[in-house]
Amino acid sequence: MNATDLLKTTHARLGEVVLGKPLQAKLALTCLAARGHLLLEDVPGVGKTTLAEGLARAFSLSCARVQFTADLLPSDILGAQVFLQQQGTFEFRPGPIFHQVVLADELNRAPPRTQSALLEAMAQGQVSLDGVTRPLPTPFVVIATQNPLDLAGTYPLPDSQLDRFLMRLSLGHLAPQFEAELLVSRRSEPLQAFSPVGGPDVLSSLQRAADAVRVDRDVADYAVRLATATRAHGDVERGVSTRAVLALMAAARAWALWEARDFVTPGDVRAVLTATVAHRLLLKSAVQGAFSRDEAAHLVEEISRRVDAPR
Amino acid sequence: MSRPLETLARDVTASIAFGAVAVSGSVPGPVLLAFPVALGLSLRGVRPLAGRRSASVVLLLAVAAALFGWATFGRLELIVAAVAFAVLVNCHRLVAEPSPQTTRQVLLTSLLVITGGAVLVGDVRFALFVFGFIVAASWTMARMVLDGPEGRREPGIDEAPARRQVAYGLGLTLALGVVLFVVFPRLSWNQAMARAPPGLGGVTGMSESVRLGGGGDIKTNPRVVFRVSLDPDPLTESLEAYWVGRHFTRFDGRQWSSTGTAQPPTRRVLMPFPRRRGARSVKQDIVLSSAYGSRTLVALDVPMHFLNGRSVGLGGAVPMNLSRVPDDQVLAMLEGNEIGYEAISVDEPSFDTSAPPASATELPALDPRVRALAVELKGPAKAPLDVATRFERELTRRYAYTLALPGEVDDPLVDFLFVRRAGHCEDFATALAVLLRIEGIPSRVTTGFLGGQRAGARYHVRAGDAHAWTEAYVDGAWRRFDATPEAGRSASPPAWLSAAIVAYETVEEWWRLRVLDYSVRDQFAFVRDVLRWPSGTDEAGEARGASLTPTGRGALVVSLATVALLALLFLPRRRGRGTHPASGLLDAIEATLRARGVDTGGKPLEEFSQSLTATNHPLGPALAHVTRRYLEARFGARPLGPREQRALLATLETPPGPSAG
Repeated sequence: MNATDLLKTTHARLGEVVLGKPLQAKLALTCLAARGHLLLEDVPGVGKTTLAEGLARAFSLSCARVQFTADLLPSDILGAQVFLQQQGTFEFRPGPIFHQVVLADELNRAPPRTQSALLEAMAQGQVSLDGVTRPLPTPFVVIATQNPLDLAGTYPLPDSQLDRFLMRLSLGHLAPQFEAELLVSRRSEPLQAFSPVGGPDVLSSLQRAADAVRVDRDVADYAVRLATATRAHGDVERGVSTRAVLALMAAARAWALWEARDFVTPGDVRAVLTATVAHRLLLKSAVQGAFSRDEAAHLVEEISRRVDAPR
Repeated sequence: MSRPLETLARDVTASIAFGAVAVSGSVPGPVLLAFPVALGLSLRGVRPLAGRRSASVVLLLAVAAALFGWATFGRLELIVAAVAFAVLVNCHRLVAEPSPQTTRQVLLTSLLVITGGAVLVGDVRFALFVFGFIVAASWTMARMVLDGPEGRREPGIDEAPARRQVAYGLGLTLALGVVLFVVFPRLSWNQAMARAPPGLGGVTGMSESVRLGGGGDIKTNPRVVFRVSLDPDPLTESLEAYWVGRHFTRFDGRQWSSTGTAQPPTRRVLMPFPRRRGARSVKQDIVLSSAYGSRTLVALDVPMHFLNGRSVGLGGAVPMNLSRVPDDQVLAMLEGNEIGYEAISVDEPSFDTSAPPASATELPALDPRVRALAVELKGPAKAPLDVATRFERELTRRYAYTLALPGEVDDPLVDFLFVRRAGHCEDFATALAVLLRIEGIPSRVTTGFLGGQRAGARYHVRAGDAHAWTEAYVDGAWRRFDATPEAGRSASPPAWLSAAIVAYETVEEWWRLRVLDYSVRDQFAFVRDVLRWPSGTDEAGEARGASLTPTGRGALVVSLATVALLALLFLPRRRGRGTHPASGLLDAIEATLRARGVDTGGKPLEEFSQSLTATNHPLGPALAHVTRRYLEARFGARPLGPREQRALLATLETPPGPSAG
């Protein structure tokens, strides 16, 4: 199976589990193919966890789920040296981070120290504990969720850490017809019936295919102009970073696979623009949470309309 | 905040405005010096007055007080003081903190300065400065827009098209300016004040006396001192004509001076000698330029009648009286930027029959060698006419022409005749006059001009054409004798230089006629010419082929050109500016879609194609295919041949539907 068929098959199977969210599923798969981490931001109960677990299962990835709470410690994620009394030695007990997919539920509920332990690992692809560096498995994906409305007692992610997520998606409430369908067809545990598309190597091959997609100079210029426009926009306190431009292009490369293309088009860039860029903008208006999210998305769409695409 | 380009553009604009008034020569020296200093500091980024508000206020108030004090006590024209103050304010702004506000202030002050320049200069150089100012100011304002209100660039502003827009706007502004100039009623401001003479003041050979010897430099100045149109027009390129200015009869051995006292001013001056029947007369319409610098009227030899004197200032022409000084000159009674008058001369050498005054035969104390020379040169000639002719010929033959002046010598006449044996026209004219008087023939020295070069419809006479010659009262009339050798009679600059001067003067002549002297009356004439459409009946018979007047034809061409320009600017332009060959396909696809009435709703083709596919639009599959191929060609390095391109477009044109095929 080539990359496009793989993606479409996976998408179809995800669609059986996560009803009525084809675009988000498509973007989430694109994020995986682009070796990116995913931030799902939405109210509880709209299928964030299901989507995350579905993604893990699709490629038979080992999966661990961490429920972030206010008393979560870094060692709860990374693991710790445990003293073995019989041998009189220390043994390393790896934490949940040593899985291919780490599902970090309600990331913003943990204190910053714990958040940063996870985010360091995301950036480096390895964990350093007590002077020993331990590589994380590959592929390694963190799928974090947060609730944008219930902000009491949370530690909002600093911008530097938001920047490490390739995409931010929000699922939103289901359309009524899908909700009804869900009630009719809902089995006890939908994920049980989910059959994988392939092993971790299939995901790796997808990622390699995305790497091979070429970028025309004009499209690269276009991405840079979009980024520059966010930096110069009057309502933006701080525009996107160079890392964000790299992320945008990586996501656009992966998106090109859906159309079975080996080159990126301006349309690919626009398709992933909001998901990859909106959460990295610091707006001038001090509104937090869902409003800020919508405002940023609108602003990015406005910029994408205003900046001329190469013809 | 750094906006180097905007600051540079601003400095250039201010410099051009300054240049426009600097060439007037009326701006005080300290101000002339201050601006280059301020400009130098600004260009080097040194801004000593940045943020010093109170010091600036004190400084400017002091400068204003000084300038207006000067103006009050009549040391400075008020308008010059105002312009100087504007220049100094500009200097101050240049070395203050640069900001968009400062830039706006500099632009505004520069506008004031250049407006002042119109009063002070107003010639063709001013036109060049105004043009430069418009360009530079537009550039500055464009830079202000591009750099944004707070020094940040607006997103997505691409400079190249912005530059093109600025160029369009500029062209349009200039064109509109010309149209407004031609059509709008003209303002007559500054009626009262005479303009300061441009450049370095008046230059002329027309002085209160003719003094021999001394140092200095003569006969090299190519500036036009008067312009004249002749009726009948001789239609020659160069006019070898003698223009009479002044007569001098009293000679003290070193200096010629005149004797007469001015008569009461009158509207016209008629010379007091009888007009002979059959004498051929030439009417001249003469304008003495500000470079002339004297009130002596000139006219072709022999002048008979001066009339219609007018002093021309910015407010237009003011009628002016004339006054005759017997045996000397005719004077203009007003000063003005220019003096215009008409003169009628008679082209006959022995026309002036006025009796010579007593001073015409008086001789100063002479070196005995001069009398001996007179005897020697006279030879066998007896009749006064023969004697005068012989003197003229012998002087021309024996003495050389030189422009070098001797410096102070005791007896310049002896120095010329026996020491240097070379001199210029005044030496020759003096020698001839003295020799004639030794022989008892009344004589006088006449100064004026010799020459005239055609420029357009008029003749130009230059300062360098100044000349002096002798007139002898022979057989009851004054006759002209010119002992100066041919080589020295008129200054002849190198051919290229005179060509350049003629070209410049033709342009300036045009500027003068079409711009400076362009009046409400000319506007009426213009509008009338434009509106006088060939009616087809004025010239019975061959009426059908009646053509437009030249003005009407010109107006037609200009309006057609304007319409074409506007069409070019405002019609939807093919956006084929992308250099990529596949961009043409995108244009063609969009054009085809428009032609088929498919509205893309402003969406990019990729998204539009997807939306068509998603909604099962009949055109969806075909457009998806074409879009795909376009994207491959444009971004995927799979080039597209013209034939394939046509085939692709054809798939969009065939009507879709189940029955197609």
